[in-house]
Order: sequence, then C-alpha cells, then structure tokens
Amino acid sequence: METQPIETRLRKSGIGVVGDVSWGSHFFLFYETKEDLLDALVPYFKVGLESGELCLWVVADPLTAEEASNALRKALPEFDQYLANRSIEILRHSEFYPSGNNLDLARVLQTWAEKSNSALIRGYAGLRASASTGWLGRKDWQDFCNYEEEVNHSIKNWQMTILCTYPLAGSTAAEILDVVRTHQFAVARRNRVWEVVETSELKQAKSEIKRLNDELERRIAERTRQLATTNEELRKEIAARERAEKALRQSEDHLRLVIDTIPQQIWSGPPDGSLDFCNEQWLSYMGLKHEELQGAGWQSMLHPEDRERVLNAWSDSVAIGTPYEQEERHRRADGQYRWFLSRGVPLRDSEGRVVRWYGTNTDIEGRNRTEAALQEAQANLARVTRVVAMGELAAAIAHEVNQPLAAIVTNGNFCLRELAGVGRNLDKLREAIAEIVNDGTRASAIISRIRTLLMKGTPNSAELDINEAIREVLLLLRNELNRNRVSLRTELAPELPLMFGDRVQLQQVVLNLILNSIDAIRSSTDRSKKIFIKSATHPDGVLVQVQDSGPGISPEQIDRIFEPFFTTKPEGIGMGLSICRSIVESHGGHLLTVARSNGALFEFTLPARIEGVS
Amino acid sequence: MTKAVPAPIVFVVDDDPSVRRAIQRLIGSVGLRVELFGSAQEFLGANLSNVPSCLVLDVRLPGISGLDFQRHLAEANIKIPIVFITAHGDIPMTVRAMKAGAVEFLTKPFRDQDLIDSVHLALERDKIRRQQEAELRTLRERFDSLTPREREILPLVVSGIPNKQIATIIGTSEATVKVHRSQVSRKMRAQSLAELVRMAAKMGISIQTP
Repeated sequence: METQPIETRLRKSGIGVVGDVSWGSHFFLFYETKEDLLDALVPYFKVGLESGELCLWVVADPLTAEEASNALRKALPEFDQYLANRSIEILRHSEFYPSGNNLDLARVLQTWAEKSNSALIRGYAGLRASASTGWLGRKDWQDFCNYEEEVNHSIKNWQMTILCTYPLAGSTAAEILDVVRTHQFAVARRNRVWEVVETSELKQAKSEIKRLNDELERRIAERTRQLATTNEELRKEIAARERAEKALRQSEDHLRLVIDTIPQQIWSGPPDGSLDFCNEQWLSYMGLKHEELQGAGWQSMLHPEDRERVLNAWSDSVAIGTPYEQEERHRRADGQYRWFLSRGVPLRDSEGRVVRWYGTNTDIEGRNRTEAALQEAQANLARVTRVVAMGELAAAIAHEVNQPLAAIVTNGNFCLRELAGVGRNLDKLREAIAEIVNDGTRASAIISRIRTLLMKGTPNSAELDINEAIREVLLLLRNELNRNRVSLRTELAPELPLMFGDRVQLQQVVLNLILNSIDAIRSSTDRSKKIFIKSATHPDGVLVQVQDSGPGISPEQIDRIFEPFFTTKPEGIGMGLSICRSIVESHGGHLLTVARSNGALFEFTLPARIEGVS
Repeated sequence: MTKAVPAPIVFVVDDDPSVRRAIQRLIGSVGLRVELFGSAQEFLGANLSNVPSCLVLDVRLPGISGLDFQRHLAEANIKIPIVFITAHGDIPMTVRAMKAGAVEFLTKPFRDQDLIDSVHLALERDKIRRQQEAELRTLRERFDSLTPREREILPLVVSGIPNKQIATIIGTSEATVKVHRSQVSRKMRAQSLAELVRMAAKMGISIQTP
C-alpha cells in the first residue's frame, strides 16, 4: 500500500487560480503576450524551486532564456544558487527539441521519463517542467498533437508536472480543440484574469472522485457505526468477563481455603516428580516455607530409615506413571517423626501423558499405634490361650488320673489296716488288691487314651501351603519377637509341595517351637538372640526347621524332652513338645530334635499330599 | 430318745465306682456303716434313716457339682455335715466349701487317716446337733403343756422378778403366783430356778427387766 502522505503528492502550482496540482498533471496555458507567460511561469518555477523540485523551462519566442532568467532572479533572490547547482535549467526550444527536419518526438518522450527519474535519483521531489510551443510550425502540428497525447497518457507514471504554453494568436479553432483534447485542463487569461478551463474528462474524473469520496464517507460512517456497535458489544463482553473473573477468583479463593483448611496434607507437582505445591496443613506440620519444600526440598523431612525406600518407590511411580502409595515417617516441626500414608495419582492428558501429580499425606500414627497394640494383644492372647489350654488339659488329666490313684491308695491303706488288725478277712483283702490292680491298669489306660485323643485324626484337614502357614504364625509373633529383641531369619523354599492337614494344628506346632525358642533365648544376655526358620523339600515331602541361639538341650534332657510332663521351665507343664509330636505324627510325619553344639534345633517332616489319597 | 444310740451312717457320693468301693472298704474297716451313691440325685432319692450321719462328697460330679449340691442342701434345711473329696482342687474352691460349713476338704489321693478322722469329726458334730435338737424338742413339748397364765409368768420368773411384783404385773394375788410357779417347775421338770433359767435360754425366751 502506498504510504506517502497526500500533502507531498499535491504540489503547489504557484498559479493562484490553479491551486494545488498532483504529480502527473499535464496542463496548458494560452498566452497572448510575453507578460502573460512571465506572469504565470515565474511563480510556477519559484514555487517549484522552493519546494525542492527539479525545474526545466524550455523557452521559445517571444521569450528568451535570458528574459526568463532575469524575471526569475527578480522573483527569487537565491536563483543563481539554484542555477549553479543545476536545480533549474532554462533551455531554448532548439536546445531541447531536436531541430531540423527530423523532429524525433519519441526521443523527447524518452527525455521526460529520464529527467523525471533522474530528479528522484538526485534527491528532488520530482520534475517541474514547462515547454513552449511558440516555435512549432504547421507541418509538425499533427505529430506534435500525437506527442502531446502520448505525454498526457504517460505522465501519470512519472513524478512530474508539465505546463505547456501555446500562443493564442494565430491558433485555429481546430488547433485549440486539439490542444484541449491532449491536456488535462487549461489556464487562460481572459479580460486580464486567469481562468481554469476544465476538460469534460477532468470534470467526469472530478465528479467520479467526488462520488467515490461520498461513497467513502458513507462507508466510513457506516463502518464507524458498526465499530461503535462492536465497541459497545466488546465493552459488555469485557464487563461480563470481569464479572466471570471475579467469580472465578472468589471460587479460587474458596477452593484455596478448602485446600488449606481440610485436615489433610495436599501436594502436587510437575511430571518430573519434583514438588511445586503443598497446602498450609503440610507447611505448618513441618514448619517450613513453601520455597524450602519446592523441587526436592521435601525429601529432607523423610526419616533416614525410610528415605531410600520412599525415594525409590516415588521415582518408580514417576517413571512408569503408576499411582504412588507408601507408609512413611515425616519429621514434624518439633523434630518428632510421625507415620503418614502418602498417596499420589498422575493426571493425564488425552494422549495419556502425565501432566501433573496430585497427592495427599494422611497421618496414620494413631492407627499404627493401635495396630501395634492389637498385634501385641493377639500375641499375648496366643500365649494366654496356650497357657489356659495347658491348664485345662492339666486339670482334666489330673482329675482323670487321680481317680484311680485315689482308689488305689485308699484300697492299699485298707489292706495295710486289715493286715495290721487281728481278724484278717482274706476275701476282702483279695477283693481290695484286685481293685488296686484294676485301677493301676485303668490309670495307665487313661494316659494312653489322652495320647490317642491328641493323635486322633485331623477333622479340619485341607490342602495347605506350609510356607503360608509359617508366615501367618510369624505375623502373629512379630511383636513377641520384637519385644524380646530376637532377630529372625527365614529361608522358606519356594514351590514346596502342597500338604494335606490341619492348618491350625500345624501352626500350633510351629508356634510352640518358636515360643520355646523365645523362652530359651529370653534369659540369655551374652548370646546374640537369633531364631532361624527354614522350610525345604525332603524325600518324605517337606522339612521345617526351627533353630535358636539359646542354651540348647543337654544330653540328659534330649532323651526325655518329648515325654509328657517333662519340662525345664518353672511355669511349664511339660506337654508342649509331647503334643507337638502327637500332632506331627498324626499327620504322618516326624518331629525330632537334632543334637547341636550350640542352641537347639527342632525339625519336623510332613509327607507331601499324594494325589487321590488324603 | 432314751433308747440305745443307733449306729451312725456314712453316705458316700462319688461318680467313680472304684473310688466309692475303696472308701466303703476303708470306712467299713473302722466299723462304720457306709451307703454309696453315684450322684447327688441318687442320694436325694434315697430313704435316709434318722440316725447320726455324714456325707463324703466328690466335688466333680455328673450333673450338679458337689459345691452346688452343698448349697442346695443348706437351702432345703438338710443339716448333714459334709467332707469334700476332689481329684483336682484349688484354693478358691476349698474356701467356698469351708465357708459354707464343710467339715473337711480332702484332695485325692488322700491319707486314709485323714478321711477317717474327718468322718468321725463329722459324725460327732451330727450327733451333738441331733442331741441338741432332741432336747429342744422335749422342752418345747413341756412348754406347750403350760396354761396361758403359766406361759405368761415363766419369762417373769426366769428374769428373777419377785412373786409380789409378778402379782402386781399380771394383776393377781401373790399366793396365786406361787401356785402357778410351782406348776411351771413341775411341768418343765426343772429341779431348780437355775435349771429353769437354762431351759428358757435354750428355748430362746428372753430375760425381762421389771
């Protein structure tokens, strides 16, 4: 788009009646006298020079170049400077137009083009020219008319104005018409007053311009009206948007309040696993500023024992994009650590890429304590149950065995009394002794009946994985082991054959063996307190070993240890191992102790389940 | 009740027949009669003779336990002394039995002499109790034979109130009081005022203050 301002396109003509003309103006002047010419052309060139235009004045009779120079010098004091720097050239027609017989007007046209072009190159605003036709002969008139027409056509491409001067005297009407036809407008002096004579073409052009101007104004008005409407709509929209933003801000404030107030630690961060947000709850828990937690800052509050595990789990989650969940200890402002359940979930975009992580930390210290207490209670219960069961068993056994014993002792005493007396009743003595024998046999039968009872079939037999049964027992004993500072090592062989048996009974065996081990190493202070539990495949099926670092079993004890009522513990009743052996044997296995230089080792084997046999 | 002292009986309640028979043999060897029962119900169903007796009771019995049976007897006002025997006793059990009036609590197997001594002690207690009950019964019979007027002055007499004053209290003459008084002593078969006072005390008649 042409950005040149319109002012510079319009040039002052210097001729009052003509006013401003645009580049590309090609107009003419009819003169009668030399004065007419000077009167129009002196101001014409004066203004041109003052406006920084390159000027070319081609003179002919009645005006000489000298007269033209003098007239201009009179009007323009700096004229000689202009002349010196060739801002103006005043040429006789013979110097400009080719003379002689061959009037090469095509070359003249070429000259105009070159001149206007060189004016721009030389830094002038354009070319201002005037050419006199006073020299023109009749024979060249037609050619000249063609030339003028060509100029009139081409001048709009050049940055120049040309004022042609024609002598009015001697011009025929036809010639005048030719001149008018080949120029845009005319300046004529009538009754000593200059007038502009417009051609119809110019009038049409002007009216067209006016029409276009009106149209433009109408359009501008229309456009302005539309813009006003649009502006109003925009204003309304902005107001609505402001209201929405305000509502959003309020909503955000509310949400922020909720996030900061709920009794939950909330955090979030970018997909790389760093942290860039955490709510007030967490900040006040740790007593840290937001900046101190940013990025990897939060890791400083992890318990040293948890740190590696937590960071590994977190980087795994971040790498794979799986939800994060860990129980971990966080340091509180006062330096105390509390247990938290930390959870994080990834937010994904439509293509499944992780966009952000969101998470919470929940204080589970209370829950963990309760769980620990519960586990301890369970372990205690297991012990108590064992003791109570043993106590009841002992009472039952005592009652059963004491009955025949009471009869035996009483009958024996009766016999002694009879024998000490005078009149011995041998029948009664025989009867009493027979009962003593019977009751002795009965007492023995009761003992074996108890053993048989314990060895009796396994009513709750089912398929079981001995490793799983062992793990359950260890879970039950976790606190018991911790409390006695026993370090436990397990080596449970994977893919053991499945057993068929009573899970609870077999767990009772494992439980008893481990509790025995704990009892054995409880007292020891110098020894490291260790229990080692192992399961392995065995030619018979499965082998389970419980080994401890206690004082071990002396050679005298080793033969009696499985006897009922044999015990080395002050509070024991000596039934544990006896019952364990009964249970294992009822499952078709063997329980025995292996002699060792240090500590005790108990092991039992159980047959693997044979398909189709239970 | 002036007939010859009847032979006492020892009742044994134990669910173990062997133990029962052994006890019978032992107690029988010291010349006592023994009757055997397998359970508390069996014992209650028996026709018990009205002779000095005691109960040798096993704590652990089928059905009702020995201790509960003890309470049951007390509630039914059957005041038979009990010797407990148990195959497996504990201290709370013993304390409970003794508090409820048991003579002895023996743990099986017991020493023969302990059982025999306990049984003798129990029978002695029962004998004394029976004598006291018989005596009281006699006194009651005598008291019942008194006239209303004689029953009225008996408490006053045993309270040591002079005849003259008694006459004033019951509104009669001193001579009449004297006649009633001699009748009371005769009917109650009291040889002296002191004996009459003891009799009144046994019957639970309280001393009056004028």
